[in-house]
Amino acid sequence: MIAYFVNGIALGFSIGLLAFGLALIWRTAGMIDFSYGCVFLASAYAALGLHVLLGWPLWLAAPAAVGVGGLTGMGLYLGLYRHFLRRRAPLFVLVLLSLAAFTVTENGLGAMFTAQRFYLTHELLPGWTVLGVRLNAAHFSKIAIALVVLGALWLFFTRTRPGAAILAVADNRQLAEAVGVNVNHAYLWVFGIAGLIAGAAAVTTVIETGVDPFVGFVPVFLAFASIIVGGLRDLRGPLVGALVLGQAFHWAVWKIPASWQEVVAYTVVIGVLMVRPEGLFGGIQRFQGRT
Amino acid sequence: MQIRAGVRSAALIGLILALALGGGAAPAGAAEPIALGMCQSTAPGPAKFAQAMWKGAELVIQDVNKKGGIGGRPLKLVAMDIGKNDPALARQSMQKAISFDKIVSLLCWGSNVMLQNGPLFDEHKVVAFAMSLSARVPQESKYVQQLEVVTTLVVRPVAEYVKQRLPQVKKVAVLYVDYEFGYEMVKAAESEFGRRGIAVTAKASHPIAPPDLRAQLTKLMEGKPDALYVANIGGGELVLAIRTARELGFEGLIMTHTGGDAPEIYGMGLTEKNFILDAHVVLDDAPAPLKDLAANVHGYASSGYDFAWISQRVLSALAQEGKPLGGEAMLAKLRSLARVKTPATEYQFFPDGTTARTLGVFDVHQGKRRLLQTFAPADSR
Repeated sequence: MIAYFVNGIALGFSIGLLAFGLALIWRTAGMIDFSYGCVFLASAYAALGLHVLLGWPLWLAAPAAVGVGGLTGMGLYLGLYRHFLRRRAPLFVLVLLSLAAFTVTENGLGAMFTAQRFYLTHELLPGWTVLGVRLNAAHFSKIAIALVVLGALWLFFTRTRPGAAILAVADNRQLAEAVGVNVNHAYLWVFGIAGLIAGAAAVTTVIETGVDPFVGFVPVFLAFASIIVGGLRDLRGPLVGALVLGQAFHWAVWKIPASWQEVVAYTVVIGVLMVRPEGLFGGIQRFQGRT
Repeated sequence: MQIRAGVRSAALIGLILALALGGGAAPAGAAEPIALGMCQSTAPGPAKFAQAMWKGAELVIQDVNKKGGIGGRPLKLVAMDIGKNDPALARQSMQKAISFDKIVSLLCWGSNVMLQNGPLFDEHKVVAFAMSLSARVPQESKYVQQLEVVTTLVVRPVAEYVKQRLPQVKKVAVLYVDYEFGYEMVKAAESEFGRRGIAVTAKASHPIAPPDLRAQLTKLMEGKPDALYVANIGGGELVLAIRTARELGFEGLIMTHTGGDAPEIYGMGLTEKNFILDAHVVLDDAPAPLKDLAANVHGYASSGYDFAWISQRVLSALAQEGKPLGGEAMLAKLRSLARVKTPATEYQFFPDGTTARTLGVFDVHQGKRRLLQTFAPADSR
């Protein structure tokens, strides 16, 4: 039983790390960004290319791939979203745009590199035992990075001018603009930081699972689910939501067939939302309806 | 002005259509190629072996065309996109290949793809060679002929090998993909291991492309099995399954099927010990380029090679006999042959659409697969 708990925690942090970046974009730009998967894939393929094709050692390829994530995030904002955000495009347009970008990326990568899965390593990752369960270096990295990101983001938002600007834009964009906050810069920071977080999540994930064009879909989808469960009021929400999901996925197979895993896990999501529709920590706004 | 613009637009559209439709036509005087279709997949597991099969088939086609083709007609290979084993997309691609390219035979896989498109093969009399599918498929379509032994029988060689050579294995756990292929493999494992006195004590499924297999493997390890049989799709999750199982402390035997016949599996240090799979045997005197493909891309290269080789051999025989080079004649000819020996391996094609072929049980030694025992066609049926 301990194994399910420990593995659930590991999965939870894995999802939670990605959820931080998504929550950041959602909270500030007000958009559900499925193209976060593009950033995930960009970092994943960058790690593969640098480490496997060019032979860079992992300690060099990994941070470089994370950097690619940051640049991709910013590139997506500048090349795609800025135009629509400036014109205050409706949410459904932004969602469709992000979905289209993700689909184009997945299928484009498949067309260029085939849908085959490629691996960064075939060997056992170094690991350590926690409560009798062996977790590998990727798991520990995700936990460490998630906690560092949580702390770093808190410091960034509370102690820096760009951070304050982002919070201002997130709270009230018009007012922020009126008092001279550069909204464009704020969004650029957001997409850049979120991109770095996605990059870190991608590299620590694909070192285990391998890389193919569709490797980003499930993590991104789970990250969204964890935001909905945990709420958006602050960054604890997505992490707690992710930990709940991680436990749900693992305990789901404890006494019943594993084919019910996703049924049980998402039923838990529905159950939480029925009790707390705004998420465990609040922050998911209710639908206002048309006036 | 508007009418002229409209006429110009219509003329332009007409020109584009004419070029598109006429672009594929052979130049006047050139012999019409004989087309063979092959599925290509964008599902991560099958993508790799699909590519290997394509390259294997190309070896045959290049060779045949260098020698003048069949009755002066060159062979050509036509790709049919089936997406992620999507039956509806497969239908569109196959329909196009049948209507425009006039394929006479094809190679494809996937129980749902083949079951739902069986009527198409029968209607257009296209011989559909099939890899890796449910036992139901040849029963439902007259024109389907297995090229790979029915999925379920792929378990038999490994079960027999374990019974003969590894008597310490008494309990097996099965990790399988949540798909028809996986369900059939579980049934096969229970049957084949069970009749040899080896119990399947636990089974757990995983979705296609899982992010994590720790939950499933933790559950399977609870029963302390002696061996783990991994029945995933096309080997895609096999690396993750092997690595996770060893991380969780499982030291017993890991077994899998032909989908694991790939260099990335052999290159894992983790498979050098306590790992076996059954895979297609490639004869020692097979052409060197084929052996190279099978070793360095995927073992399924030999199946692509065999598909093209068998097709061209049957078509050549029909051409010599002055018979039409179509699917109906191909199928009749194929099933009239008792045994077919290709440069790579040997088959028996039965009238009911089933097939027996040589399979081998392999382990991994110094980064390459190593044959432990061969199972002749009769043993594999």
